[in-house]
Amino acid sequence: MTDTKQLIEYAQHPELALQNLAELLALLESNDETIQNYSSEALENCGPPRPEDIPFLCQQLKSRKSSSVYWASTLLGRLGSGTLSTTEVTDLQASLTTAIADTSLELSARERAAWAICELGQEVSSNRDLLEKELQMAAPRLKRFIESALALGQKK
Amino acid sequence: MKRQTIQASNVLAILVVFGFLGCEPVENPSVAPQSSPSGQMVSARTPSTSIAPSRPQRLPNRTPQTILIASFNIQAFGEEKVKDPWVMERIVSVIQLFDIVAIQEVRAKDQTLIPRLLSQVNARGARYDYLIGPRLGRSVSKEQYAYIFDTTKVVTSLDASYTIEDGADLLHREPLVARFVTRVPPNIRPFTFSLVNIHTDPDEVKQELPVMHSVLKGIREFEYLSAREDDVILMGDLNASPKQFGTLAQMPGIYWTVDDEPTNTIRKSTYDNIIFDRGLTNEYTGRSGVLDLCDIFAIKTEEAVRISDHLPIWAEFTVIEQSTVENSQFVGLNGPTERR
Repeated sequence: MTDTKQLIEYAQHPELALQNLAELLALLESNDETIQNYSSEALENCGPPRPEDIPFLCQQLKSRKSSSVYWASTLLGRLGSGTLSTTEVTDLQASLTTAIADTSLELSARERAAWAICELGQEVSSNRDLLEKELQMAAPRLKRFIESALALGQKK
Repeated sequence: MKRQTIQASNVLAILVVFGFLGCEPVENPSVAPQSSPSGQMVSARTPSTSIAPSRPQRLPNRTPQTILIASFNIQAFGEEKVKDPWVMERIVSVIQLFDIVAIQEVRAKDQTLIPRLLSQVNARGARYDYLIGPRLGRSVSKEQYAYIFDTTKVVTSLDASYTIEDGADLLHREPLVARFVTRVPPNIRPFTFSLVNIHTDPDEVKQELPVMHSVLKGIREFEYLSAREDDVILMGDLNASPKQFGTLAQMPGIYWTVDDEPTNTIRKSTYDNIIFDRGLTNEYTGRSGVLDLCDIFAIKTEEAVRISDHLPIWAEFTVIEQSTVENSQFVGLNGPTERR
């Protein structure tokens, strides 16, 4: 069981947070507000994930928990463009698009998934139809991100 | 002491502000991505046993002729910090150096945190009060903005404070605006000004910074139309250095007090700033800076980060309203421009 002091350490030392991503995502569900706050703080400060954590984060995109999807999307989006192979990004786009379309998730998590597609910077080649369908129903902020995602590769 | 809490029902909807926001482009691909701070820079200074801060050379004394305004992101200010006497004593000491402190990252459902902080600030007879905004944010961890101010130097009112309504949903945490007036003798014109407290989302700096000039422009126009107020000061944690300001940096007369000096405690990045129109806000004395927690408390960086991962930033202004040259940017808003 992680105590608050440990979490504060994570918040102050990005490398520790990155070594404990699974734990931090789980702790976001804590009933203890202090635990929640410092878990969030650690995730805010930790920067992009390590390559070995990417499969775990992709798995988290399928979670039913909005906070897990929100932060998995955020961390994956921080990878930016050019870090992953085209195939890896295509796979990620599929998972992120599924999260965007999952209306059982909080809107903020779906928005962050769309933001991540934009950050990854590769033209959307999978689930494009699903994104275009979501575009018709999306709230304004989500719609802006989806529009930006669909425009990737068409701006040059 | 009157408690000033902005309830949702009291939050003003400033449609004029968001009319401007909604018209602005959302994207700006030229903004560089944020890097995360890493590593620790440890001060070689010997820790002091006294918590009384030694006043740094650059921070002026508080005088009746001037006010010192600060912005301080007190990283995850919640129960854990409030119950830590070592941390609280130093946060209290920092606040007591200034006449107004704009605070970011109050993170607690418990709304007694700022009152508890205030009671410590006032424990030895000081007369500070506070304003606090609603809990904001998209993740599970919500944040509040607050202002703590010395009522012997400035006054404000709940009616003159509001959280801007971001109809287009462009910002992660909508700024908290508060109007202040300095206390001066009856025959002297007081400096009146509006502070805009902001904390951007570090992951959405690329989306938020390009609209920041519209946010500031909209608030300035609203403040001028509603209160003839032309001194509007944007302050807080922008998660960006001036090099990333883009259109914000291109606003006529715009001035920022922190250029390239790091504002995080590990002294790696510039995140925080105080921004205003120097032509209009000529009450600015030209003195501003970043308060180094290691310096003032004679502690190591690894200790200072217990207080916050950000350093307080500050700027000094006169308490007397200065006359300004007629400003063309307000002509046409409501007839001929007339200074208060």
